[in-house]
Amino acid sequence: MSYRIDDVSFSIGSLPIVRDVTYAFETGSMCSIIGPNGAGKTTLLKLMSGELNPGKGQIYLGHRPLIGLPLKERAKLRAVMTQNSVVVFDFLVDEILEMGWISGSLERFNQSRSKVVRECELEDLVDRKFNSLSGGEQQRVQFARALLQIMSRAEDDEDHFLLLDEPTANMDVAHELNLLKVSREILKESVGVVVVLHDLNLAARFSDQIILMDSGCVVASGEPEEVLSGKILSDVYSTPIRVERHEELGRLVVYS
Amino acid sequence: MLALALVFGFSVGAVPFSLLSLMTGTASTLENTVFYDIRGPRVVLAAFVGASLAVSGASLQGLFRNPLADPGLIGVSSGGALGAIFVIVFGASLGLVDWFMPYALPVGAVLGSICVTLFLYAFASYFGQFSVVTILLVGIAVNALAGVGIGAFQYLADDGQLRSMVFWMMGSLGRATWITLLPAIVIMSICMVILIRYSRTLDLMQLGEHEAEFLGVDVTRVKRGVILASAAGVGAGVSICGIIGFIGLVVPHLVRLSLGPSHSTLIPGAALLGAALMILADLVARIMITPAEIPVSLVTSALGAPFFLWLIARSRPV
Repeated sequence: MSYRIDDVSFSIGSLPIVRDVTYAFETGSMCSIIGPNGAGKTTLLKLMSGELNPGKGQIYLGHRPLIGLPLKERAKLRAVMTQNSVVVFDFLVDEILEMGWISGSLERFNQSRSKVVRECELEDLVDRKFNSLSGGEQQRVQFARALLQIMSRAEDDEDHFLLLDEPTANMDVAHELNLLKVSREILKESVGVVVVLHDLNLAARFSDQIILMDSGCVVASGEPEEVLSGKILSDVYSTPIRVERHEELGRLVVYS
Repeated sequence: MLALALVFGFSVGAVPFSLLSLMTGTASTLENTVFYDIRGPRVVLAAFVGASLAVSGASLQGLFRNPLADPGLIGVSSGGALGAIFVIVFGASLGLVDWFMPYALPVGAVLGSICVTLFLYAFASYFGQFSVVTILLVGIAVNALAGVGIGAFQYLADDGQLRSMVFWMMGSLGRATWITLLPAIVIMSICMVILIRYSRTLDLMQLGEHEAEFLGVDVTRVKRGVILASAAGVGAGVSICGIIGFIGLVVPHLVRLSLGPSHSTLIPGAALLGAALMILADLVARIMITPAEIPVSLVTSALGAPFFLWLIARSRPV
């Protein structure tokens, strides 16, 4: 299945935030959206999640336009992790995780839950109050909840998308890497991942595709090698950036 | 949960018993009449009103994602009182058919509550997120406006009407008779059942409105349902026993402290504890200065207001 953005624009008042973006995200592939602050990355993700409606253009999940899909159907086709993680009352981490499970038997929930807890290294956190956790820990819990939403779909081969908005913003290096590794692992289960990232090295290391945005437009898109060139990046970020291929690590490294 | 329910269930039952023995000492021939016609409906009403206020409070707190939402504080109760008083003053001149008259008061109160809640919601969402401050300030404004309305009606009212209005403002369970009780109890029960069925959705709402939508919750419909059900529940209560403050604020907090914030335990727990507390408050109101009685809202406010201050003090550092 593809998540298709077709000539989409969005503005707040007269200020354009996203301009004429066309792109198709595919399941089985991980795509990073990068770009400077205010480039429209988060807005693009909000348009995809349905939180915002495009001013122009259409977004399709498979062949069906997102706007005509009931919320229940959408929930079966995509999970979203936003930057907001304010929970007013003192819920336990375990209760937050359970909220991600939207359908399916108790037995499958327990299996999926223990798998997610193990993968996201939440063993020590599940019995704690969500509000007592640090920002990074809360993000790990929200990520795990989104994973559970994906796992609660009826069949493992059913297509699904995971949308992540700066999921690693407050995490330490180890958990940052772990989150992206786990995200890559679920790609096998006919899932597509779209992630807004600030760290160019993480984008270089984990993405199949990269979209580089600037002032609401897609400046470049394609495989990391095509998009991550020192010249384009220096231009977009208005600061000197060098990209080299690190032979020992076998991947691109970005220096700024 | 079960243990707590049993304890509360017992105390709910225990109150009429202690009352009964209290009665036997003075006049045991009157015992039956007193129990079935005066104490009985009164205790049943107290239980339902307490439960309904607590459930509405819990649901509104969940919906507004704000622990300070209380039907009394944010003006839902005074809206109900305004509706009821409107019916008292103008009821006769509205030209309603006779059979409808007993229902006119509850209907007026329910409509008043619903109007206030809708206004509150529209106003708060127009300015984005509901912050604690916004909602309390709007509540003050709504209460003041309702006060103006009530004052205006007072000016228009005659002597008899005035007396029944004062009774509404103070809150009392003393007017309970089975006939006036039934319609309100039916409304309150329906509302509570509806709200209990929203408990899972209210849980998901705690992640944030958009986050709940991402999980398939039709947030707009939930908002409408919860607002209407809780306002109708409060309004129905107000129509028989006037404004009773703080039950809707205090009870959900106490339940959250013991059972956790999940609405599937919070709402039934609030119903049981609300009923128990209300019966006790009414008991205190009756026996403090026998044979006279003090308005029950004095008791609930005397307990609730310090609790409210404590809540504010506690939430400061966060």
